[in-house]
Formats: sequence, C-alpha cells, structure tokens
Amino acid sequence: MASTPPLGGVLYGRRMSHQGLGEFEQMVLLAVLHLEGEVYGVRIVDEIERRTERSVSRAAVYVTLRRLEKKGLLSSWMSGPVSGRGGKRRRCVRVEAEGERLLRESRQVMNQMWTGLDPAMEDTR
Amino acid sequence: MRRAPEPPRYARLLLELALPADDREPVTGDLLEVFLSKCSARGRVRARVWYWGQALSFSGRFLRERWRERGERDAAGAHVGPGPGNDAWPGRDRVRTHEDRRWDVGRMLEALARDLTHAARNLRRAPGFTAVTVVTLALAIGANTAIFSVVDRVLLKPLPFPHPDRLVAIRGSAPGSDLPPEFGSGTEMYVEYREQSTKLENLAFYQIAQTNVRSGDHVEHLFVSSASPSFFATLGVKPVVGRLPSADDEEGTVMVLSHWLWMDWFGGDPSVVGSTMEVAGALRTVIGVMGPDLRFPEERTSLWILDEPTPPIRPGGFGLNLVGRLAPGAGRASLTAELAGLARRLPERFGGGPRYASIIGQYRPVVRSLKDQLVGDIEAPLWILLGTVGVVLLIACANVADLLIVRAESRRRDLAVRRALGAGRTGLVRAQMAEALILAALGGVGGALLAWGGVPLLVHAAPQSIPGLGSVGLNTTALVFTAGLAIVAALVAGLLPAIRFSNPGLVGGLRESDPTGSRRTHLTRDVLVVAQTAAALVLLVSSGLLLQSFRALTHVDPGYDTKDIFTFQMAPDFRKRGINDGPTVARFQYMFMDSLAALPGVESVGLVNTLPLDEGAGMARFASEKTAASEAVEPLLHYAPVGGDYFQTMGISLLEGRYFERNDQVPAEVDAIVSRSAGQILWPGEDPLDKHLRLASDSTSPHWLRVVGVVEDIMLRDFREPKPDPMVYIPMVGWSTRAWSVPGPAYVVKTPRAESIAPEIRELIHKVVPDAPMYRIFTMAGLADRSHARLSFTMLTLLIAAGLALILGAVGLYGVLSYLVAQRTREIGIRMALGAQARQLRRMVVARGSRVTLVGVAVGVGLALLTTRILGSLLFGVRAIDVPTFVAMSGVMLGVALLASYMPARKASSVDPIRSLRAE
Repeated sequence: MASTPPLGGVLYGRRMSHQGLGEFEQMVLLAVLHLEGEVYGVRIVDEIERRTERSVSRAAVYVTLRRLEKKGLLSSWMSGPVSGRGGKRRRCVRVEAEGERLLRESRQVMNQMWTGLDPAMEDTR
Repeated sequence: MRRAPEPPRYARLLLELALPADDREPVTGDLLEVFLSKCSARGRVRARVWYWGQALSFSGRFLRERWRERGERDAAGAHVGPGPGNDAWPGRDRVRTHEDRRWDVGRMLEALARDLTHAARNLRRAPGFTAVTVVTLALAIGANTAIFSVVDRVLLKPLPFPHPDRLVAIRGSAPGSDLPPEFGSGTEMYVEYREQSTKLENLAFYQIAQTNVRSGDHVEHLFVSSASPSFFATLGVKPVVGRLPSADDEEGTVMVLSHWLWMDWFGGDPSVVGSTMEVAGALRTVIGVMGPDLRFPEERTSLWILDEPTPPIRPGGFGLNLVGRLAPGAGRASLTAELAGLARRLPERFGGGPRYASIIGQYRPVVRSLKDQLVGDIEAPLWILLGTVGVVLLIACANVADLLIVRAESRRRDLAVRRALGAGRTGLVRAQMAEALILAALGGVGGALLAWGGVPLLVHAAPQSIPGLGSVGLNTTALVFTAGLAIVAALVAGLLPAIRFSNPGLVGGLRESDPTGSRRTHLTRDVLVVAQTAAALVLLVSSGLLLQSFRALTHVDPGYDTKDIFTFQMAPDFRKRGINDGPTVARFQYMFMDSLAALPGVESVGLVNTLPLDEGAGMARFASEKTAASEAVEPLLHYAPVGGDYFQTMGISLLEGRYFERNDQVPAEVDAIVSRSAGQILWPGEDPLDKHLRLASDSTSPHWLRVVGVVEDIMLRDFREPKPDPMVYIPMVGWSTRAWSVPGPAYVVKTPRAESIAPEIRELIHKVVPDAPMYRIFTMAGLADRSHARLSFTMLTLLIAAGLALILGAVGLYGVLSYLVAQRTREIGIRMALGAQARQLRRMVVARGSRVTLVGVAVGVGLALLTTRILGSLLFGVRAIDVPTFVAMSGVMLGVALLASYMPARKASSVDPIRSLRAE
C-alpha cells in the first residue's frame, strides 16, 4: 500500500472523498486484499468469518461486491468452467487502486477518531 | 454408484427467478460448492435446509438491491437500458438479447402482455387442442362451482341474524328411557329456563304446523308458526312494517306476516297492518310484516302467531322447539350444565307424577348452535360432494398437464432454439404459463356458464329438506370461487410442463434424438396417468358402495306397498259447519271416501291421521291390564286413528283377527288393532287378540280398548331404522262423541292411475267441500323416493363425477399410448420388418397400458381403503371396505384401460414398415 499522509496535517485541510466506505464494505475489500490467487465469493466469506470469528450473511457479501464494482473500487472477470460445481464459472475479483485509496483514507479517519482516548480503550483484545 | 447430491429444485428455481442474469451462474455455482461441502460435513438434509435459507436470503437481498438501483437511476434521470458502463458486471462475454435483465415491473407487465398475445395466437392455430382442454376444464370447474354454490348457501353462509353464533337450539335426551334419542322441550322447561337461567340473554319457543290461511276468497294450506313474544327479540329481527307482538297482546289474536306472503297476497301494501285474516279457523289481526331474510323455522313460513303458555302448565309434553341467545361470556357447555341443574327442579315445581320424575332423572339437555340444528345431517354429504368434484378437477388438471406436455414436446425444438439464443428460464416459463392461463381462463368462463345452467338442475334434484336450498344461485362468492379455481387449474396444470420444458438441458433437444428427454417425458406422463387412474378408482369405489347402499335401501320391505297409491290431505272447515264431534266427522269421512272409491280406476280408499313417510305418527303411552296392575312404566308407542280400507289400500298384512268395521256411532266397546311388535311389547309372549289396552293418561275412569286385529309392523320414517315402529291403530270414533275425531287426515287411494288422478280428485273436493284446499299431494312411491333423497342425491352426483373421472382417465391413457406409438413408429417398423407379428405388437402396447393402469389401480385401492370411511352414515347394508365392490371397480378400471389401449394398439400393428423407416 502507498504511504499514509502525515497525521494531524494535510487531512484537516482536505475534504474527505464523497464516497466514504461503510464498515462492511471495508471488511469485504480487506478480505479480498488478504487473499491470493482466484479470489471469489466463497473464499471471501470464509476469510471474513475466520478473521472476525463471526458468521456473516453470504448474500450481503455478494451484494456488497456488486456495489463496490459499480463504484469502480473492484473489478471482476469470469474464470473458466470449474468441475465440482456443475461446470459453472467463478466470478473472481481484485481491488482497484481507488479501492485501496479509500481503504487507507477510512483507516486514517478512524485512527484520528481514536487519538486522545483513554489508552485502556485502545486495546480491546 | 451413488448420485452426487443436488440442491433443492425449487430453491434453485427461486434463485434463477430472483437473481440478475449475469449473477446466476457464479452465485449458484458458489452456493453449489458450499452445498456439496455441507453435504459431506453435516449430511444432505441439513445441507438442503441450509440451501433453502440461502435461496431466500439471496432472493430477498438481490431483489431489494435491484429496486434500490432502479430508484437511484430514476432519481439521476439515467438512461435505463443495457449498455457498457451501465452494466454492473462489465466482464460479460455473452450475446445480449431482448430478454429483460433488469427487474422492472413495467417491463414485466409488458412482457406478460406480449406473452399472452403470442399464446393466444398459438392456441388459435391449434383449435382441436384448445377445444379439448377448455371443455375438460370447463366441466370440472363448472361442477365445482355448482356444488360450491350449495355448500356456500347451506353450510357456510351464517344465519341472517345479528351474532348468529350466539343462537342455540335447546332439545333434550333421556338415555335409558323409552323416549326417542332426542326430543323437544316441555312448556315447563321454557318457563323455568326463561325465569332462572343466567346463561341465556333471551329464550323463545316456536312450533310449526300446516293449516288453512284465508284472506277473503283466497285460501291456501300453508306453513304457519306459533311463537312466544320473545321469539323476534331472541333472533334479533325487526319488522319492516308495523310492530312485533308484545306481552300485552292477547295470546292467539295477533300475528306477523312473512315478507313473501305480504308480497304475494297483498302486493306489498302497508295497509294490510290492522286487517284480519282467518288462520286455523280463527280470525287474527295482522300487526306487522317481517323482512325478506326471516325464513324461519321453515323456508316457506307464511306468518307467526303470538302464543304464550297459559297456566296450568302440564309437564311432560316435550313438543316445543326452544331457541335461545347466549348471554355475553356464556358458552354452550356452561349453558348445558346450568339447564341440567334447572331441569332437576322441574318435578318439584310442576308436578307430573312418578313417571315424569323418572324421565327427568335421566334427562340431559342437548344444546347446539341453531345453524347446526337447521342444517342437520346434510353437512357430511355436501362436504363429500365438494371433495368429489375437487378430485375431478385434479384429474382434469392432470389431463390438461398431460396435453400441455405433449404440446411442449412437439415444440421442443422451437423452445430449445430460443433457449440457445439466450432466452432466460423465466421467459420460457412465462410463455408457457401464458398458454395455461388463457386455457384456464376460458375454462373458468365455460365453467361459470355450465354452473349457471346446472345449479337449478342440482337444486331440483337435491333433497328438498335442505335448508336454504330455495335461495341457492350463482352469486358473487361463487364467481370469485370460479376465478380462483381457474388460477389454481392454470398453476397445477401449467407449472409442471413449463418448468420441464424451460430446463437449461433443453439445448440437448437440438440434437436429432434425445432419448433422455423422451424418457423423462414418458415417465412424467405415466405418473400423471397413474394419478388419474388412482383418483378415478377412489370415486368409482365410493359410488359403487353408494349404489349398493341404494339398492339395499330400495329393497327394504317397509311393511306396506308404495306402488300405485295416491295420497293427499284436505281439511274442510268443520267448525263453520257446526261439526266438532267424532261420529259426525266420521260420517263425513265415509261419505267422502265413498265418493273417492266411485272414481274410475280406484280400487280402494282409506285414511290415516298421519301418513308413514310423511308425518310419521303420534306417540302416547299405553297400558295393558298387566302394566296397569304392576308399577312398570307404560310403554311409549306410536298410534294413529285410521278409517275406511286403510290397511287393504296400503297393503299392510293382517296377521290375526279382523280389520275395523265401518262405524259412525259411539260403540259400546272401542276396537283397537296393534302391530306385531306393539303386541309383543304390551303382552310379551302372549297372543294380543282380545286383550285390552288403554291410554296411560286415561287412568281415572279408564276406557279400555279391545284388540280385534294384529297387523304386520311398518316403518314410519327412515328405512334404515333397524327395528320397525310399534303401532296402535284406533278407529275414527272413540268411547264418546268428544273422545277424538279425525278432521284432517291423509287419504290413501289405491289406483293404477296414481300419477294422474290428482285433477279428478281436486274436482271432487271442489264439488263436495268448495272451501277446502287440497294439499300434501303425493304418491307413496314419490314419498319413498323422497325418503331416500339424501342418499340418492349423493349417489347420483358421485356416479356422474366417477363417470367423468373414468372418461378423463381413459382419455389420458389413450393419449399416452398413442404418443408412445407415434414416438416408436420407427422401432415398430423395424420390428415388423424383422418379422414381428401384428399380434405381438398389439400385446406390447396393451401390456404397457395395463402396467400403468395396474399401478394406478394399486395406488387407488390404497387410497380408497383410507377414504371410503368418510362415506360413513350414507352407507346402508354394505361396509366401507367391501371386497366385491373394490374388486368389481378395479375390474371396470382395467376394462376401460384395455379399451383405451385398443386404438393405439391397432395403430401400432397397422404400421407400414417401409413408410415408417422412410419417414425418419
């Protein structure tokens, strides 16, 4: 990922981009980034559930992927026919540059919100 | 090897319908992947449940997403249509079609309209197919609508009173006594319950009789009700003109007219209020007119006379009909308990003697909803009939589904090409369902027309005792029902073929021969034929059982003849003529009977106070010398005054002694004739002849009757009764002029012209007694038919339904086998060319048909074993599981199947091998 802008500096003078990312959208994008090779719906759902230790609505993930692609933050392509799933093709995805940029921006915003809070709150693990 | 598990079919179909076209393949592929892993990990059942959950979840979310996207587009004023950049998944690589990929309700309706037009055009090009399908559906839908009209009016429609569910009928039973299983209430009960019950908001009594009603020169014999002043308040009805009777009115002097009488006799003139009319020989004043909805207690009740119990109240009459309205919060169970407690106090309050006390000791109130009381025992047969025609509709739908499958099979190539060119499954399903919808709509219209013509016939054939029958007709509810049936028929008949022939595997149909597809089609059609055969057999067995019951019932010997006997009543106004004693009335009756006997063709004439099969007979307690001496309770027996040659006319055999002699004077000793069982009850093990009996109530200075004859037992009402009704017959004149008289009996005339003699008798009456109307005009044969009406009506309708089902089943089988022969023409040609005999080929086809039918018969027998119990009380002399009937009807089914197989078999054996091989 590209380096983050310095804290407490430029961000205050710059308006946040119009398309903010929701929490779930961030999770989906991050899951895609974590995975390598053919990244498709089944693997994305598994990755989110593994990392969050929570079950997630599969349909919500797919709808989110659709929205992210509409926004230009993801791109997709169809794989070849895959045996073991009735010969049906997979739709594979990857994060676009704009998607990465928005992820970084969202993280920055959250970090700025956390700054100055009671240290005990910062680590909830 | 075990087949790989597959996700639930309809869940997959749901996804295919809900997901955007471009998402279908990847999403369903992903879900399949997970499904298979869940099958390994958790088992197929849980995996299937999981898949259904996902299907619903995905469908809901994606449909919402598409609506949201559309909303955004519309808000942005964006161009709606396919095109790069406007596409959510730009990475597509297939050909665009006109198929609508975006979920747009407007476009969907447009597509539907297009499909319907296209379907209509296709159907116009296949008039034979369309006609057969529409007629099949119209017959089935029409039958359902007709029966539903009756069920709706008789069973479903509530009584036209406020809060009709709060109205109850109160009767009684006294198990262990010799009273009938159920009987009416005594006047003392009405008084006690009305004063003391806290569970009743209101209570009324009513009675119904037929009597002369006269206004000016117009006189008719009509149903007239006498009722307590609380009658109208209990029902919650108000007059449309005038007022209701009140406690201030003198009993018997005022009356309220029915709406129909007011319209018929007085043209709806409100000035009838205040006028007087003669009813049952007394002048009474009209104080009001009721609305058209009040047809209670009889459909043709003409008026209601005010009646009130006047002291002293003699307990034990048990002849009143009580109707009550439950108090708020009270239920039937709590009312029953309360009335049982109140009844126990009756002997103390009203007296009645040890006999009455003994009956009250065994007395139980019977409380049921007024609707149930009025409907009586017609409920079960009506529901059976509705179920029967419902089965016929299912058979018809199976037939139509079969026809649609054949049609789709013949258009397989066309459908496959459309699919290959990118037509979505939804579109193909919609196109085929459009045809099914049009056919079902036409069938519905045809069915409504058939019902409109058929309902009057049904009403005419139905037992006339069914309440509300007079107002059965094709109303809005019935039409809505018809529309609903048409939609159901379209779905049931159309969905299976539509889904089958929009399968993605259809592309395989483009290949020259597609044995798998054909095999699946054959299997589907075989299953339909099996289902039709099974359903038809259930109907056949049921109607066979009813036919046997009917035969048994018509062979019951009631103890009297029913052939060639004409009967009628007429009631001259004796009071006007100053005649009110037994001997004078008897003289008139003899004179009248002599005039009747003088008519040409009349063999004998008699009279009886109340006729068997019509009014039954009165009941009274009789004592013999033995019972009078002991403390035993006197037996309750039927009795009837008779005169003339009653026994000879009715063909009631004389077992001992003699008939009554002609006598119009007070005798020194009154004769009596008893039936065989009455004799045994009064004098067990002894010869009744020359013994004496009296009315139990005549105990202070008793008048003993001498038994001069013993006659055969008769059945008074229901031929199903296991035991005949014991009868005591008394002559027209009793021990004094005032003992009794017979002013309005039923006359019985034995003549071969029983069906046509009525006009002559009417003329005779007019000459002899001009002011007496002739009524209750029947033949005994007609009365016997009427008593079987409930059974015969159900049987007839079931027979027609079974016949229809048989025809449809045979047509279905014929279709399957014809299709098979057509499909295998080439194979048959080859076989013949190789030396196969025509006989062998015929056997092959017939064997195929027989196999399918045998499976259908086996399934049908299983179903019939379960369902024939439903016939229950309709059966007589035959059990629900009657082996000969089952075997016979299975034989009929197989026979019909053989017939249906014959034509296709002949066709198979007449195939020209050369032509068949060349045709391919």
